[in-house]
Amino acid sequence: MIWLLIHLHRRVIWIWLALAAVMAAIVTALWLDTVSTQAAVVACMTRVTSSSNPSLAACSPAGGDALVWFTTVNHRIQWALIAVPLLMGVFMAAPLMGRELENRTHRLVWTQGITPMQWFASNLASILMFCFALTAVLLVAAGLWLSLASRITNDWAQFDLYPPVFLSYVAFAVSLGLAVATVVGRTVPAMAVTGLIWIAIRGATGILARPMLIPALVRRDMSAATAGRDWFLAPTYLDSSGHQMSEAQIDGLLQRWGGSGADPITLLQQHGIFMAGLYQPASRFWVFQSIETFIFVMLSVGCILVSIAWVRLRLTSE
Amino acid sequence: MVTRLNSQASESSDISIRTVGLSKNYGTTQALVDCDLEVPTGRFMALVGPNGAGKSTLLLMLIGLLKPTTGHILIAGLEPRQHRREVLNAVGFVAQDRPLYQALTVRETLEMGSKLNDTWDGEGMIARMEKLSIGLDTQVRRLSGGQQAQVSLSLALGKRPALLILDEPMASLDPLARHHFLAEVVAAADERRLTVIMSSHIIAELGRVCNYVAILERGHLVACGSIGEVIESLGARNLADYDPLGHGMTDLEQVVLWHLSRST
Repeated sequence: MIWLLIHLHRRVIWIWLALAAVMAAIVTALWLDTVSTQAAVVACMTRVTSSSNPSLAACSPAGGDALVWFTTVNHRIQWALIAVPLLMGVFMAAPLMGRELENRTHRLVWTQGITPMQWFASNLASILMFCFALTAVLLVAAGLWLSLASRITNDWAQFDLYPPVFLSYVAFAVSLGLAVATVVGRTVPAMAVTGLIWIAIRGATGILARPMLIPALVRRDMSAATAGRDWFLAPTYLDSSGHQMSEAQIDGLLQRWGGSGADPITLLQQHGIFMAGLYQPASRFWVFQSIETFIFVMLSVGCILVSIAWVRLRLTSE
Repeated sequence: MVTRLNSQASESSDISIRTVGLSKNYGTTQALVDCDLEVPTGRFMALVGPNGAGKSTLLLMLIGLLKPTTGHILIAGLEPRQHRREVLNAVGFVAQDRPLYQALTVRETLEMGSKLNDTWDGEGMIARMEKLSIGLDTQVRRLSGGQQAQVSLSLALGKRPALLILDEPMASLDPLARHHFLAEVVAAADERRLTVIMSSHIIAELGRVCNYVAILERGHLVACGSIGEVIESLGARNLADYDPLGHGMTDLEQVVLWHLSRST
């Protein structure tokens, strides 16, 4: 079965190998360029970022330009790498299964001494192994870049590129693509649905759920909350007894006390209400990695179970 | 010349296929109802009936690709879904539309057969392709419909099956390709002493080669047996009415027309 899959998809395999190689080469080249030609600026920015009172003025005039350049490149690399699992699900996994069902070639294989479960397991194992191998190549290059980025920016900013979560995103994208294609049975609709579901779930977990995986801590010193290796989430207000206050409560109080024309911050401080920062400490970084990896592994398992159930209960029993 | 006389049929009493009370429902639609079928070993059976009669449903259940709603199936004494591997080894199947991997060459397609099956007649299938002047290094997508049908047949025959099941294999083929295909099936069946089940709308051609018939109508098996037995059960005088113009219809054509006209 592996022989068949390689022969059937050799062109796609070569295209993906080439894409991964090019991508890894570009990231490595950017890392080499940054390390070799801008070593002094990087060293300065590293010192500045890790200080308790960061100020890029210390690295000026080159520091400002270098930071802008670094930030731009960093964002592009991140977005390119974050898109990889999505592309694998949409352009590799969904068509792999969708074309088989669309062209009814699954029935050809199922009558050639291969049972439906063997067929599905071979497809799943082959594409997962191939995607993990490609991801490993990309993660080696990403690791070089991360080693640099983590010195200049916060680790949390590169959260999505660390191997545990990144591999779980790949597993989810691939198993989602297979599951959707198995259920839909058509290539193009399966690709579209896979893309939409993946973006929705990744967006929901990365933007909405991640900050709340563990209740955030509160720090009275706002400047400390936004500096260092912690993940600053949002400003908040604390009353005199240290309890958090909602924005609605603050607005209500300001309206009640307003009218005197006083500065709102001063007004709040006069009544014992202070601004603080909600944050996730750096010590929780790997806990968050573990939680999010677990979530995506479970989602992947769910997709695989849906596929198996569909093959067993619908494709062979309908 | 594609001919197969009824008298040449094996008189073996071994039963290759037996179904008992076989039914299949798709939701509230009954695709096959209480089907009791026996096909003796060595027979060439035509499975005929109008569109939607349940022919493909029956064939897919015989090879274990569909689960019956009720009833039992035995292929050479084995239940297809419980002994999937053994049954797959014993059955060559050509599905409706003859699906093939279009990107593979003929040689790769045959190699696929050798990789996916426990037994494989590699040399025989390559020789077969050469005899039919089908280029081994030609991509399947570049073959004509008739050639693709022959490649599909090779995949079914290469595993050295005892039973060959063909689901509308000649649909969309031109008359010459149909003739060649049927000739190859008959030659293989004779040479390898195969039991063959072929569903088809092209009754005229089937009528010259089959010696056993099953007629399905709206999910019901309305007749099953050797052509002679079915004719006998109908009464010869009835059949003559169904070739009033003297077109030289085969017995199978007359039997099928008799049944179909009775139901309309």
